Amino acid sequence: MKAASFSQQTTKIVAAIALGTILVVIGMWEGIAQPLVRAKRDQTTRLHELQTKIGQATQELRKAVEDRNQNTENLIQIIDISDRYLLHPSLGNYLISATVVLEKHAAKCGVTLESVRDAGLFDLPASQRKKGTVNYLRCYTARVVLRVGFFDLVRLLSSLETENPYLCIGALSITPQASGDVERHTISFDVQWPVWSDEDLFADLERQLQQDLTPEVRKIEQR
Amino acid sequence: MNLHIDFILPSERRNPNPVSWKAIKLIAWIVGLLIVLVLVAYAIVIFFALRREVQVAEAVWSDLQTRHQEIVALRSRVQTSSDILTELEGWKRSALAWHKQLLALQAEVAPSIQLTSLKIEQTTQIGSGTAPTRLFTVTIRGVARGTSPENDVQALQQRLRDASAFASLVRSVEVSHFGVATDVKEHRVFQITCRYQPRDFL
Repeated sequence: MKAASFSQQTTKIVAAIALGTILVVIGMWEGIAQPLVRAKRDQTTRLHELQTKIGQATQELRKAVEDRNQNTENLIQIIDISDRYLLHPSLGNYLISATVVLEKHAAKCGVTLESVRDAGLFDLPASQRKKGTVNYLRCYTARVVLRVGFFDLVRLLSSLETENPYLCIGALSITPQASGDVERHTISFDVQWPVWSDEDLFADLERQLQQDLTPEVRKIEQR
Repeated sequence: MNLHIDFILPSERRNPNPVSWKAIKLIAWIVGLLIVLVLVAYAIVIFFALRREVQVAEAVWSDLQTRHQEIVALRSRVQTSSDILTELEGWKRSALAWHKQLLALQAEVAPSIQLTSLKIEQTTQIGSGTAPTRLFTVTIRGVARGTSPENDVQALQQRLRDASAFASLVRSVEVSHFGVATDVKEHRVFQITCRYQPRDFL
């Protein structure tokens, strides 16, 4: 009898221990293992994300050196073209600058201009290739009137057009003089120059170029 | 007669085997527990190593992000400067050297023709390619004084179409007016309209 009750007690103890162990294992799984697995998965996803972004950013950094050089080249070209071929206002007035250019060429060709008048500043129709495209340039027109022979006119136009390939004769009229002089005609023509839509933009481009060419900035970019 | 009395209970008897089931079970429990603990410890170490890696990557990304924003801004500036250059080149491309056209015109006019006026007009509009375009029209008025004024005017029209200075630039040449001159009946007054090919800015 004593042996039988001892055996029952042992069985109960073993069962209790087994149950306790199972509960501990389940507790460890739910309380430690599962959250750990979830957290590891999240961290792995985050790490993968970061590594992708870092990879892309590193590639872009390498390309940035090329981009900066390209931008510098573009700016040098733009500023050169602007200084040589675009009309810039003098005291807020394009006519003064235009007159200076026209008188210079007239003097070179030995002709006299009767008048140089302002014929307007206008925007070109904006390109419809890309939505929101803006024009960086506008068109300034000066109207010139003179009385010269055909070949003198051609020499004057040649001088203007050869020096500035961005300039365009927009309109021209050659009519005979009322006096009957067949050597000289009444001539009127429009000269069109590209001008900046925003002179501040041009100043901004010059500043950008100065910045790009600063050795300190180049060193920082190379780091 | 033999009498066998066991003073030791069967459960108290020593097992002749060096390894008992009890010991095996105990060892198995201990080893199992140790394995579980080692696995858990390993998982925790891996997790913390991974977290450290993430922290390092986040620090690198944070540094790169600032530079990345500068790069995005730089790319925008490159696009702007390229667009400006394209627009400038468009102005150059769309312009026409009129001094050459006038010289070529003068060379094509026969001695029997006297030009009385010449007009060049320009309009700008959006062309078929959705880019702004220059459209030039030249209107020539004159008097044909020769013995065969119709032929002279037609020949001039043909030369304005085919001469090398005009062939690639001119789209059409039409005699838009042809009539009797008011002063001399044998002479003919004419008007020729030359329409140039559209010249795109872009």
